[in-house]
Amino acid sequence: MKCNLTRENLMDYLYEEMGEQERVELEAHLQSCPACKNQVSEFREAVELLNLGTEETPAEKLTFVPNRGPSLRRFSWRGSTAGHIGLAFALGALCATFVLSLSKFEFSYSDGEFSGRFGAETHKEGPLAAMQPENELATRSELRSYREDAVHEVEELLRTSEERQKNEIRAVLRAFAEELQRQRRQDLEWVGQGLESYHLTNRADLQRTNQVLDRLIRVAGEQANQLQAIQISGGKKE
Amino acid sequence: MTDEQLINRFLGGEIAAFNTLVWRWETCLYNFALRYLGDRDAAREVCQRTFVRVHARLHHLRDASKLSTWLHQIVLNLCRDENRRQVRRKTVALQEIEKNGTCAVQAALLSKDDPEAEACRENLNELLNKALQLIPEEQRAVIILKQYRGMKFREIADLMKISESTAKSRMYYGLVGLRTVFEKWQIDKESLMI
Repeated sequence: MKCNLTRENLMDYLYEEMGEQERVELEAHLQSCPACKNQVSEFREAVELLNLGTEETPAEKLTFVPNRGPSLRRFSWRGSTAGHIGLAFALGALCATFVLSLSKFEFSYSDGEFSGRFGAETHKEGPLAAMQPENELATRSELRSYREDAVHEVEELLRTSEERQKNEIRAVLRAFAEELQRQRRQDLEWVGQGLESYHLTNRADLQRTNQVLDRLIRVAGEQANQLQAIQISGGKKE
Repeated sequence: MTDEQLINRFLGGEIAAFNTLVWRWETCLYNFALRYLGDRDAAREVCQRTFVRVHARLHHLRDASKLSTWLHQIVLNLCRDENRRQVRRKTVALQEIEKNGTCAVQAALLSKDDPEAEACRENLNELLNKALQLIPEEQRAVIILKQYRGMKFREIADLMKISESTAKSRMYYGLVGLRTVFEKWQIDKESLMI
């Protein structure tokens, strides 16, 4: 037989995807062709080496938890009634501030009452007056106080943020634990259902067996009675 | 419970069903990625991304009976992406493997109860994974799917969108490459005889 062991044939033969007729023919050829036989055995050896590999179990199991809820949506101006109202309000406030500043409007709040007046006079001394040497000490102390206030506020913000993050992590962990608990409960329910169905099947089988045995005993009893009757009638005849 | 039933339950809003699917397929997909990439961390990452993608697209899967093929397609694509992303290519310390190769293969044939053999068996897995890294990606993918997932050449061809003949050809050249590596590492049938 001519050597026609193609790559495809070889792979089909190695992995048993070859038709029966082709396989028989190829095996007959391999008996008479040492070159092809050698090639097959070399490939088979590589396959056997690969077969020695085993599956690894991943170090950690993946578990998906549902989202905490709808995420914050980015506010869209387009097509939103609330957006239009907000925009109009902001523009109105801006215009009003501009007009009032032109007319030197002064707005103040004291003893629980708001008051406003037009034509307020500007500070005669001007902003540079605050920087005069006699006021320098006061300004420094004010700056120090502002700085302390700012540091205090930043610390407060950091503390709040940290607290919020902790709360969030706590909530995620709690949700995760609840989910795991729920899954475990469900798995146990499934196992329970399986056991129950197995138990029911077994009980049905046992009942069937009992019925058959009862019937057998009844038939055997009847046959014994018949035999006894026959023996008695035989004895009487004698 | 079958995969199809789990998918239906998940699509009905039951997240636990999805997790059951994950646990059922995780080891299989992780091992595919591990053999393809040769790196545990990368394999874990790819495995995780596979399930995130599955979670997002499971409702697109029309035929639930083709879940296995679909999952392998996703993990294969992600493995290819991961390989492209890695700027620093993994280099195999050949000397180290040559030193330990024969020992690892012999140990794989020891009794399963032998604790010493267990450590060597891990080395053998590493050795085989490293050998796989030395052949071209496309041949590697076919070998993993055929050798470790037991797919038919027709299924591999469908999964990789190639002809059946090309799949067999890649398998052939992949095995030729592996034989060369095994020869270089002096791993043969005789070394397996204890």
